[in-house]
Amino acid sequence: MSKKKAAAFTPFANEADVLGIGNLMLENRVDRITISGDVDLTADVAGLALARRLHAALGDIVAALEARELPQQLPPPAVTTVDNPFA
Amino acid sequence: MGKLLARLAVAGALFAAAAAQGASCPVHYLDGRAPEIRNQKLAAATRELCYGVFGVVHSGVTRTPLWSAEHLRADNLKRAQGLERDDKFHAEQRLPRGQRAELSDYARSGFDRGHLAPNADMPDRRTQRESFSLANMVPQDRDHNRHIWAPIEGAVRTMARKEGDLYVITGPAFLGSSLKKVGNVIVPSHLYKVVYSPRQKLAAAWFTENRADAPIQVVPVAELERIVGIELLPSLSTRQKERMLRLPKIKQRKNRS
Repeated sequence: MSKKKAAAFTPFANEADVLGIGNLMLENRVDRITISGDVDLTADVAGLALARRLHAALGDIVAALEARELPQQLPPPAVTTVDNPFA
Repeated sequence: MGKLLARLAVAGALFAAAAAQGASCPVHYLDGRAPEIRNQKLAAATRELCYGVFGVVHSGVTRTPLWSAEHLRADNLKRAQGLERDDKFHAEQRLPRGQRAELSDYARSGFDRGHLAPNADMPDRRTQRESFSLANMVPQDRDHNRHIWAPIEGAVRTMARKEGDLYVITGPAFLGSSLKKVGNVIVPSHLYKVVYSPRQKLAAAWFTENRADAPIQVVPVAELERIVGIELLPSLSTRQKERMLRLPKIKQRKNRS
């Protein structure tokens, strides 16, 4: 197994980065990290590599949240309403 | 001399890139024919964008694609498995600034950036990168994306492996008198996915509202075309499009109980 250099994934830093771990996808947003999909952390060398990657990512996320002042809850999203231009 | 050669090389590369883009679109469509817009209001500020394994027509009005078309092949899906999935969402640089979505439009919107041509369909790193262009995205309800749409996308891949290949067109519908907007991007009221099986010579479509717990409708393509105002499979007759391909039943994954 090749040692993959971990891609830069700074939690909450941008709306761009996507980290793939097996079929798990960690999506960076400025107000959240979305984790979707699934992964088997198998009891073999490959499983350990994936588990370490996931562990590192979650560690970074927890550290980033701990380091900032957090509201009880996010403010509601800014969604507006417009007339349908195609109607 | 060196300079001239360099210039020729650059020109050659540009030409090759342009040729690749221009040439690759018809292959994504059944009989090489792209959908035809019937509701002329939808045609305003549209641009065709061609990618490795999918083709998009983008609206500068909604700043979303109007559709994304794929010729989904079992061999490509095999290649897609086990691909490293690190990537980056990005604005589409080929679109003018005043017509494209930016990452900031989606920020703090509460909506997912929903792929039309799914990332998991992409056979290699290049096409995967392309699939993360915002020109292939619509603002999608989170629960809809994860519990309704993901199972549909999975079912289409399973079907493509069985059938050998499928033509798939995925798109938003903008219905009703008013629509939601996030930043400069208009949120579609509905989403659809058309599937055509060359083996069975039949098509059908899933059609759902872009919201949590929406019922999943299966409709003939002829009916969907009337609803969205776009002739999606122009090489087929209306009669052909009224017959229905059997689509697999989607088990909607339940949200938190």
